[in-house]
Amino acid sequence: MKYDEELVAAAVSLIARREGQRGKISDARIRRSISTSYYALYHFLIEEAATRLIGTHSTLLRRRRLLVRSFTHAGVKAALDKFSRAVVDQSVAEFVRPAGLASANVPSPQYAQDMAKAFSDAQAKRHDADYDLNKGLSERDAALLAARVTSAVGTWRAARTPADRDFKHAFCMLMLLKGKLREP
Amino acid sequence: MPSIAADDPGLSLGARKMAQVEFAVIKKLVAEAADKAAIGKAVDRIELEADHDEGGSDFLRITLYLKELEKIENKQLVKVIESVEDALLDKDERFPSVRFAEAA
Repeated sequence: MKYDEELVAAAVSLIARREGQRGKISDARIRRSISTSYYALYHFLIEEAATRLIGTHSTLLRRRRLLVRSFTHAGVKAALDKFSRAVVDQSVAEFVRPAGLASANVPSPQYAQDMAKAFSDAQAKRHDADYDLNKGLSERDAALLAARVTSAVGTWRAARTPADRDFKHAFCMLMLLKGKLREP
Repeated sequence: MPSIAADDPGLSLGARKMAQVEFAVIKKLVAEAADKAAIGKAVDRIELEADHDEGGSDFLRITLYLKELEKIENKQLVKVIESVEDALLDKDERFPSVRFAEAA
C-alpha cells in the first residue's frame, strides 16, 4: 500500500464506528481525520513529483526523499491554483501547452481541476482542524473529504496517455517552482 | 543566479484579480445549489465567513446547517459542493470551502 493510501485509510478509520456503536464521534477524531486526509493528498503530490522528476529506481530513494523536503504547502497550492479552472492560467499556459494545440487558451485537464479543488478544500479544512477549534467540523465533513481525496488521487493516477504524462511532468516542475515562471 | 522571489518583477505571478462576490449573492448561490441537490428544504441556515490559512491563501468558509443531516446521502452533499465551487471559482478569488453541520 502506498503512503498516501495508508494515510487515507487512517483518516477513514479515525471516524469509523465499531459495530453497534452509537453517538457522536469525538471532535478530536474528526479533526485528526481531516488533517490526515489533507496530508494524504500532500504526500501523494510530492511523491508524484519525486518519482517523475528523479525516477522510480530504488537506488534513487535517498535523492527522492531529499527532493520532497524542498516542496512547501503554499508552493504546491500556488501551482495547483493555475489549473483549478477550465482554462489554464495564462502565466503558465505556454509551459503546459500540448504539442499541436493552436488555440489561445489551454484547457486544464479534468483530473488537474479535480486535484486543485480537492487540495484547496482540504487545505482550508485542515487549517480549521489543526488551528481553529472554534470552527466546527462534522463527521460528515471528514467522511466527504476522505472520499474526495481518494477520488482525486484515483482520477489523477488513471490519466496515463502520453499527453497526460507530459502534463504531469510539467506540473511537477511547477510545484517545485511554486507555480511561478519567469516571463519570456 | 537570480533567486525566485514573489516581488521579482520578472516573474509571472499570474494572480487573477477578481471581484469578491457579496455574501448575499453567495448565500443565494449556495441556496440554489442545495435546491439542485434536492436538499433545499433541509437547509436551516447558511453561514459564511472569509478567512485565510497560515500560508496566506484566502478562502470562504461556507457552512450549511441541515435538518436531519444523517438522512441525506453523500452524493447529494457532493453535488452541493460541486455546484458551489462551479458557481464561484470564476467569480471570486477566495476558494469556497463547503461544510455541513446538523441544525440544532
